[in-house]
Amino acid sequence: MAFRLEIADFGEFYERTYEVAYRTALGIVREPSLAADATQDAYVAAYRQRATFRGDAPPGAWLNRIVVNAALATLRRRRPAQRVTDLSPQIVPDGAARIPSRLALLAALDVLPANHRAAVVLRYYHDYDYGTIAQILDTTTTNVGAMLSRALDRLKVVLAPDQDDIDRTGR
Amino acid sequence: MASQAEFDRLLRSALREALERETGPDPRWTDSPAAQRIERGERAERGERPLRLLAVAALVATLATGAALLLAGQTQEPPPAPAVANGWIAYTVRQPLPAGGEDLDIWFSHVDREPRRAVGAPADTISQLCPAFSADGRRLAYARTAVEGSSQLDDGSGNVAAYRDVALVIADVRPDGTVVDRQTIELGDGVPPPCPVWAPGSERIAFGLPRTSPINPETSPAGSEVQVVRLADGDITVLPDLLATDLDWSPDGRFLAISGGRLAFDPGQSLPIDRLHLYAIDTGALETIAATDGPRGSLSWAPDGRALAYTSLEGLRVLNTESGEQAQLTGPYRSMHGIGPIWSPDGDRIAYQRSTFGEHHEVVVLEPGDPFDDDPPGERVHGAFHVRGESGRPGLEPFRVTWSPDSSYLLSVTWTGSLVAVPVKGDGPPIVLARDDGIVPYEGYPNTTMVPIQTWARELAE
Repeated sequence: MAFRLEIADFGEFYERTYEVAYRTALGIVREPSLAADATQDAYVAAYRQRATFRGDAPPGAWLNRIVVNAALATLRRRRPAQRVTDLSPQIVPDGAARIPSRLALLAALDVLPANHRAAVVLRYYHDYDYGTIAQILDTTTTNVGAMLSRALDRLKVVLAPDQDDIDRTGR
Repeated sequence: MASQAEFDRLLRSALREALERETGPDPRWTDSPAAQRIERGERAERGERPLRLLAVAALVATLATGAALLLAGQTQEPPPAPAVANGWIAYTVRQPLPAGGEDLDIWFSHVDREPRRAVGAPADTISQLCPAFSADGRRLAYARTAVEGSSQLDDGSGNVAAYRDVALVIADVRPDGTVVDRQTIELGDGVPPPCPVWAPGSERIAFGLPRTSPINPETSPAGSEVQVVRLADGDITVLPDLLATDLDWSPDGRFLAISGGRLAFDPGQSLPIDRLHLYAIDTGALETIAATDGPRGSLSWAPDGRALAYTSLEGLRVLNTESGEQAQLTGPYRSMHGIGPIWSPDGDRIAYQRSTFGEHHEVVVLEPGDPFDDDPPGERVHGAFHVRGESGRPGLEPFRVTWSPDSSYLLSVTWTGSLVAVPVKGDGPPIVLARDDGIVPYEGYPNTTMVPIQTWARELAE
């Protein structure tokens, strides 16, 4: 099949897709050195699994599934054994949104659970639909919707202007 | 005020701007760590294949006056095995049912995957539990049962009458973790679900069916059984009146070692039949190993087949399967939960669990070296650990540990229901593979067989 030819030369496939894979991993793990490690892990896994690529989807989505899994695994290996802190639903100020700066956004991503960050990266960096994201994260589209909803609520809280700003500008 | 659509647009723009600035290391394939790792892996796979041990043993029973059982024969040193990679992990998860009772299903986890249900359906009345991977990781054996009324499977009451349609199921496992049932061996009603123990070569499975409970000990094991199933035709051999607390196959699959008797917390409560037994597959002979009185539950065969380690009243002991000699590895210790000894797949270490205070316990890792060395080292302990929870409290204590296929991790379900892999080699942190998800440390009560309650397969090749 035509798509299989795209990974027939694995080295060429690696060089062509590496930057996007790295950026995907970085969006999830948040540290450049970890992202580099996770990306290498992903390509090793992709090489071993290349026979499973059926060519019925773009190779990018196939690879991104492997990259996401590698990134999440990297975080699990780094995380000390402790109870997860559940991010309880936050009260979101109505329409609380402003143009987030790059640094503010990257910092805001840190407060999200890893799998929510993965959903955000797949939705807002790769523009995948819920169905594709569900396949990549091995979950349901309903769960994807819920993850993204909670993630965005959380980001809005973190990126929302503080009360002083509202008082000064809201009049 | 920005609308949701506007926030989406802003988020998309900011995220792309943030990530597009990052390029990462030089992406040349030939210089990449991935290419080098793949090359190393392919070189290892092209190496020698492991040969099966050609242990030729004749079982000789001697009079029970202190003489040891002799396994005479010759063994060959196997060539170095190719590198083993860690694959799927299977464990049991409990879900309470609305009408009372519980549903148990088998879940899979993996260092590189999120946990997910692999066998069973949500909130149904059929429970699947006690998973065990075959040595090659390509098959999964597990117990299936329905429970009558609102009974729970592991309430320790010994209420075996509540079990219905108990079966041993053997399934194929695909590399992606899909499980497909292939064979079902019906065991009937009123027996506890079996916790299977695979023989090397995957031709047979053994399990214990106790009729008594260690919580309310009886004085007789009458009615208890060890069953050995030959999978090719479903033929079952029953070894009666053996209250087995642990089973382990010899590496060549020719012998099944059985720790018989009752788990005795008090040495004075040992049953007269508390001994190690060896069942020979070829001849059907069941021999009792003298001078192994008072085993306290667990045993483990060394990967090279030359030694059998077990818990004695005096601590961990090891039996030389060629000479019959016995050696003591540890002094006496107390253990209320957990198991041991468990020999690592590479043969370098032995793990066991011992009490620290009350019901709390830790895992100890020994490097036995040559247990029969005339000049043993002064200290064999490699390390001891229990995984701490928040604020340093020992909240993640392991139930029963399992070695990873590559011998680098000890895996356990913890008291809080998390699934944790603790590295034995290196200084890495523990890996939490699943947390507080209703994972049940099913100890098999009233099934007293002390098999691990989680199982770790080697990675499957595509």
